[in-house]
Amino acid sequence: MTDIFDVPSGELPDDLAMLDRELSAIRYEERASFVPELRAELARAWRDEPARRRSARRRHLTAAALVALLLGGAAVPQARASFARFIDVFAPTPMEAPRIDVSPVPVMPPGAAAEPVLMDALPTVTPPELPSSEVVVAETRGETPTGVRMPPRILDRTSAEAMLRDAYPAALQLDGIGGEVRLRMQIDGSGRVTTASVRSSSGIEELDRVVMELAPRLRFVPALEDGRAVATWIEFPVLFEPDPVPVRRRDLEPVADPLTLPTVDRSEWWHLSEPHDPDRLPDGADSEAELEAELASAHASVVAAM
Amino acid sequence: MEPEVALRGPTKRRERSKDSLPSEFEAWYVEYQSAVYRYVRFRVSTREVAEDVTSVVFMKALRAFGRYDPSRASPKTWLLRIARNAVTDHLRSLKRRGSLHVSLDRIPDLVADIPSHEERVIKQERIQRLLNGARSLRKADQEVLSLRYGAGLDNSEIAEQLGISNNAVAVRVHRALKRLKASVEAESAESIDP
Repeated sequence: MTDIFDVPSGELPDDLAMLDRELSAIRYEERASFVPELRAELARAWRDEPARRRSARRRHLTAAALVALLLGGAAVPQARASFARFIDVFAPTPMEAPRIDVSPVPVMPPGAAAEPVLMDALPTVTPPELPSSEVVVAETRGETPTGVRMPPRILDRTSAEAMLRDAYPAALQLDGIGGEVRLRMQIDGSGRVTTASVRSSSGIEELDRVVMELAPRLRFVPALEDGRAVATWIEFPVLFEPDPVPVRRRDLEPVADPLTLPTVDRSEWWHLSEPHDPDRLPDGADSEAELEAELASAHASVVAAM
Repeated sequence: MEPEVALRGPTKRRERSKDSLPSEFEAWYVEYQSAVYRYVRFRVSTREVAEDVTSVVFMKALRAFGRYDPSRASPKTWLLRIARNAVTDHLRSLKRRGSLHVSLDRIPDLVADIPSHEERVIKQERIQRLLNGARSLRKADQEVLSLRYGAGLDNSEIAEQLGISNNAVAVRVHRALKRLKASVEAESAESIDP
């Protein structure tokens, strides 16, 4: 049977075909150094893997020997005295698991703008096309392309989001109230916020106040021009979005999909090794028949529209 | 530079070069890293998070490389399955940490190829709206959209990934696009007339 949706988007209804084209046209630009950096991390982990496995094997053998001795020692009184010495001699030494550390390359920006600009409105610099090995060498030597202007970039996004999340007033969350605050901030050459004001209010005074109070604690990789850190103005948006599911107390009824569970206060009482997929089709023939009928109906509507 | 060599007892073990991966894994990395990254990027909010999750995926794959069974799945399918679980774990950890979205989302990496500033701003808003809409869908819809438009799989590859028929994939894509369209239109209507 012809799979009508596996053909050029012209076979979809017009409105969905346009959406299909838009989604297909999204380009995902990776950071230039990410691919070689990750490869280097993987190679390092692979190199260290035999030592980790030997250590694991030694630990397993040691554990097996200990169990055997424990059982034997319980039956043979003379062995008990030696047992304590055995543990002391052969206790395994813990091995550190290899760390994954993919450090993002700071965005290198250029000159101080006289007027505040949207952080993301500054042009994204695309490094010149080079073979990957040359890109890696250039970064190692600390070379910076001349004349390159790059905007400032927040230093630790995760911590910043956590800090703002913690400051989101609980009462507003429970009432489902959120909003976007846009700050106008000056970032000095050391990446600190020296001036901040509300450029666009969220409409909620409390949210504006929270963001203004926390702004001085934000840290950035400063703007750079020709490798030199410079002060710049930025427009910095923060979006507060309450959870669509209201926060409830811990005594909740379980639901099928764990990702829709209301959040409980730092509770770890649910844990699934494999999330349940309520959309997974059963293997019965009836389900296939229903799909065939739906597909035929959809096909008929496409043909009628053409 | 010569790799380090150490003699252990009577048998000289072949030391791993500090710069090498198993050749087969290296080939998988070269060929599929981009698809894995794009799949993850479609699902998460920023490029930095996508890099972290992609790193986790390949580390897990490397550790499990010895257990890979080619009779059960192609390498691409196997890697994307690990990616799906890694994204699920990441989203679950976000849910555990807090009930709200405080979003500093910005997507300069998705509009970097647009030279005009005005066009870039417009396009950025549109893409943000589409991706936010996609993330508001149920998990099954997000999966099929990210496999199609993130990883760039065709219907037969998505069918292998999800363990369903090609026809089922077609219907799921159709449904997911319809729901996405409705979600985006609803959000647009709210922003015009809140």
